[in-house]
Amino acid sequence: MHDYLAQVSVFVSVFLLLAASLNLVLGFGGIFSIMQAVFYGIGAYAAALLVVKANAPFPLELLGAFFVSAVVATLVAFVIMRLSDELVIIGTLALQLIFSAVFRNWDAVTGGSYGIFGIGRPSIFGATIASVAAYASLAATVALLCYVLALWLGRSPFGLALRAQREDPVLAASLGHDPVNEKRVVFIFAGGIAGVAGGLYAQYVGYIDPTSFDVTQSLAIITIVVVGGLANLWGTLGAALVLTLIPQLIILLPAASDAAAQIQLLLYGLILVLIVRFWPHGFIPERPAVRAGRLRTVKVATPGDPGAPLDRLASIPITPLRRLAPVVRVVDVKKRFGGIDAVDGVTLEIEPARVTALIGPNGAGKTTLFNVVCGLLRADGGSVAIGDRETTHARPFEIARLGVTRTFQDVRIFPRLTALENVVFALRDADVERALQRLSDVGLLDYADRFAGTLSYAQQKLLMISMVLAREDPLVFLDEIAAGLDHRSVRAFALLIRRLAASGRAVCLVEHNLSFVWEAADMVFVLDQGRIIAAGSPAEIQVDPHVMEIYFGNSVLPARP
Amino acid sequence: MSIFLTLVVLGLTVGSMYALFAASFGLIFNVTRIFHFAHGAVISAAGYLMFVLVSRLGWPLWLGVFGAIVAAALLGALIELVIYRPLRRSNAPHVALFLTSVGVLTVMEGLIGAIFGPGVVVFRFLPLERVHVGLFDVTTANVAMLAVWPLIGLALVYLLWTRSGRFMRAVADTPEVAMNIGIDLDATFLMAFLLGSALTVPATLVYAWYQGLTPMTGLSTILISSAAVVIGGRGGLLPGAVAALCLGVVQAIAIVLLPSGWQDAVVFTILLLVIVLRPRGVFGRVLRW
Amino acid sequence: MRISIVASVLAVLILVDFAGTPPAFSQQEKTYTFGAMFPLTGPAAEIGELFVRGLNMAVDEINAKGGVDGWKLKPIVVDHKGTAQGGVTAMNQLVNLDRVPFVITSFTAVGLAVQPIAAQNQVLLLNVGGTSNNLLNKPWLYNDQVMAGPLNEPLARYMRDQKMSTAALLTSEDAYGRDDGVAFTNAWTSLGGKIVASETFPLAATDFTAQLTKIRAANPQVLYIVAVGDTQGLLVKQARALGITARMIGPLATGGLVKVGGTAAEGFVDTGIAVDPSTSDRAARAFLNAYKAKYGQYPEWDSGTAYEAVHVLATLIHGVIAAKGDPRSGAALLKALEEHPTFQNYLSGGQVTFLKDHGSIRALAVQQIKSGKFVTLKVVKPPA
Repeated sequence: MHDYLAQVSVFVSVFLLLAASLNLVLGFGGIFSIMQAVFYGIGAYAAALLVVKANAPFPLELLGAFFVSAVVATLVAFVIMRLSDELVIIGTLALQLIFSAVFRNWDAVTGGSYGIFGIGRPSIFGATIASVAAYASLAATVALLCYVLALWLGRSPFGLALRAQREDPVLAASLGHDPVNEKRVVFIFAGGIAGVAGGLYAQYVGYIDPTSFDVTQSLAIITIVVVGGLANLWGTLGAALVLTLIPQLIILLPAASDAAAQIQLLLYGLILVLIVRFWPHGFIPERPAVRAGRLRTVKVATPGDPGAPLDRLASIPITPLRRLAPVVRVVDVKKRFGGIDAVDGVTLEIEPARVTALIGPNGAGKTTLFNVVCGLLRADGGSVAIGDRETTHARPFEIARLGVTRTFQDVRIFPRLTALENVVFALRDADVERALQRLSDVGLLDYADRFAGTLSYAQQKLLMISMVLAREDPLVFLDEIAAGLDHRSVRAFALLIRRLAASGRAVCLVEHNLSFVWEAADMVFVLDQGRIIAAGSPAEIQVDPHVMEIYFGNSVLPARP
Repeated sequence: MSIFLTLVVLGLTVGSMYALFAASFGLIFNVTRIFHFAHGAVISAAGYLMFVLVSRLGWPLWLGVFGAIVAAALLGALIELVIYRPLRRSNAPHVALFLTSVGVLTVMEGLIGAIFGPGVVVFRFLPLERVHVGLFDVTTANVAMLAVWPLIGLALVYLLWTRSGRFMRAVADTPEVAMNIGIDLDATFLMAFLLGSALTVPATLVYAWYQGLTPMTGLSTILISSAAVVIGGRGGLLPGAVAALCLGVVQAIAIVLLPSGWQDAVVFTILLLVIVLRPRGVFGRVLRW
Repeated sequence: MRISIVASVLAVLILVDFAGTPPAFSQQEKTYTFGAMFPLTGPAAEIGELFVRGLNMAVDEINAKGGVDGWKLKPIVVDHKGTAQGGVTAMNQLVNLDRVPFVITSFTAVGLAVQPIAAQNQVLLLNVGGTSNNLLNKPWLYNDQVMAGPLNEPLARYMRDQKMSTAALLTSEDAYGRDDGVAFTNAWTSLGGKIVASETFPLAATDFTAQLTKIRAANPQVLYIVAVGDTQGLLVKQARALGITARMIGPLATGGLVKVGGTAAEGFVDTGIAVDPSTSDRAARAFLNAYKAKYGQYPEWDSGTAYEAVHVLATLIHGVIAAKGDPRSGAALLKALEEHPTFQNYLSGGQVTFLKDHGSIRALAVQQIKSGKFVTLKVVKPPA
């Protein structure tokens, strides 16, 4: 009986590793890979060859398995990681089928459909771990080590970054992260872990052939991950246990043993359908990487009147800059979409210690210009420079790393991360203490562990602000930050913006809320149909007849409050 | 040279059969943007139903085919109503739809295996015999495979000239605009599933005629159909169909250059190359509907 | 949340523990449990069913006569799905959970994978299915089956005697296909024949157009096929339909050939363990007729070898008891086999003898399909 349980536990160890590795890729990274069984197979073959041909002692065969799988994963990652989500599904499916053919046909290495047999059990310092129970313990130890590693990774800033880019890669990039690179790293690591699982399997069964590493296997691994919960590694442990036991239990039912494999297939499929159909966002919710509740040292919010939260803004501490922000020079930038010139030769400068505002009617090209400067869109002409760095062709995360923080029209945060996680992610150094402080500054400390998607509009706006402030960047680009604000809040916001500029930062606004612009801005550029038609101080712009016309037709401009 | 030609001819026929499968999958995919892997479940279920109706219950062939068409359409519609639509309503991520689709395919595979066993089920009422056509020796099934093209033509006519066909094309093109001008998205999706599922049956018939049915039939047909549709590119029926035709030929002549074990890999290598180098598909622009 | 998962897992594990089968024997009624692994699911499942038939017939017969020296036989039949992994899982259950000293196995991949387990646990393994030469010379594993070399030689010889000189091969991409293909090629060429084409196909394939077209172009007189079950039938059907007129031959044909192949299977020549209902051997006749009475036709080789395997076990148990040994000891069973390696051949009368290389020799038959039935053309008796 012990030996039987030991055998079951070996398979549990193997599937735990496979599922955990895929969860990192799929659950955390959002990479829909149907090829995890390929790395399982590569690792198995590598370990098998190392043991059979070179008598590799433990743990060399497993390290070899990790290494070879990781190398292949690297090649695959470079080929597919830039593809869109749907194409990744198809691409990994194609790769799974191609590799299955390789396993079946590359006789010299894999033994073809014949397989490799006579794979010996591991030897440590000359002693062979032959018995099932001993091997099971070894396998469990290895699996546990790797699993703990995966757990740690999931809770680390890297794990947080993965989940963030999974939610919103554009937002993540605007905060200085390179989603493609991060996905590659997790894919490669996961491939290696799957390879280790393959090594454990090969040395247990002693015989491997291509049928264990085909698309059906990849789908079975996906099932375990989905049942346990995406991005939930504890759930993966439970699911691996349960789903590995099911086939063992079916064997024990005398009536069913005839059609056992078919029934198992049916059950797996049914479980998959039911779980995803009724809990499409995850059977078991994700666990945040950090929790405020755990931490003891929580500083109370800064003093200030406990009025409407947005009022606090005026008195939020702003980190001083060591150096003046660089100048952003936009020279003759053009951007066209189809037949329309959204931006048609715009030249301006965004200077430090000032608030620059871009205004203009809808479709004037303001946000488009923003997006070009921040790297989200590629200019069709002209150049952009930040300080003495030419950034015309830079990618969003590169520009973010140069010290640019930007926001998007409409509140954009990571809804399935907690408020605290949002801020931690925004910080360059993931310092949880500082994140808590920032949350407290905007009065959201009590909401630190709530999912950001459950906060109210105003609270999400505050969260966004706290993320901007947390980054402490010298260049701050805000897209319609004052949208939906009432009279009092506008003043508080404007004060905050002006204080930002006063610290030496260059602040650039795209705005529709004119009263906000008059309050906050030093320099105003008016755009219409992709061109600057007026530029000057708020006072000058307010009385410019051209501006009047494009905004209000021929009526009179409302007086300054 | 003659072996090459023979292979090309045979490849064209088998490719034609796959073209109908691809057209049916492509119809659904282009209109609904769902990677409906469970289409394979519809294919197998209808196939085995035909077997039961004609072989076991003794129905006449035309009636069995008709019954299978109705059943296929209903099954496709059922999947849309019970699984995809609720998931769309709850804003489920795309991967959720794909996963349930795969789950349904797996369930059907298990179910068919449990009921009919894992062996090959042959349509004895369709004799597979040698036929001499022009310079070539082919089988009766191969000739029948060419009959798919009128069916594809019919489907095209439907799409081009009927009201519901036009709606489907509109939705396939730009769903947001279609919705705004008052086209009922749900009804159009349903129609696509009905039509797309029904369209598979003639192809399944010929498939079973040639190589019988196994529980894995659903998976193997959907793999090649979806590959063809992705390789062909967006744009309705024709790109996928033409791509499938080409793949049929390529797969057949591949054996001249590569050992037979690598045949499968050829199709999927082409697929991989297309999505990496030309993601919008080979014919995406040139061929429309 | 975590606690409830762990709790339910523990509950399941405990359940498994208690659901485990009862101990291998009870004092009141002596039950002798032994293991049997067959492909009950997967592409070769209909063969699995045939094995099970033979097994059950033997068990029922023996038990009806009171068992073996008072021991009632109780087989534990497990599905190995035709894969190595399935085999290892099945074997581990049999060895560790059910604690059997004797296991009947089938399929090359399975045999190769489980033999080390058998050796380590001192379990006697008897293969009734796989034919690969790699199954020879392995400790604790014996083969009640004719291996690829002796299996294909008579086939090659028969076709050469028919004045055929060119042959093409079409074999499955697995150990069975490879080994038998090589064995046939060796036999064919050493008899002066020529191989004009050689193609393979993946196990689950159903479309053989490309391979058959290439073979047709080589214009062989003989087409040698290695495939299992229904696939054989599908192959011959497509071959004839695609215009191949060659004589079709292959080892170990089964019912699937006729069931799926239909008229295309006519004339197929196969070689396999001889099944001879006209034998004068009483024990063999009894089995063959009993099977026919129950299933409507004479058994195929797989039902036969499984049937024999049970009788081998019975003979070994009897021998061990006679020598005052412990019949539940795998080592004792092995010793008995080594000392008396000759057993009753229930398929064609006479004997089956296990050899030093752990293979066995017995009468082979070269058969042909006529009107949908297997007809024996020639019987090749083992050297005396």
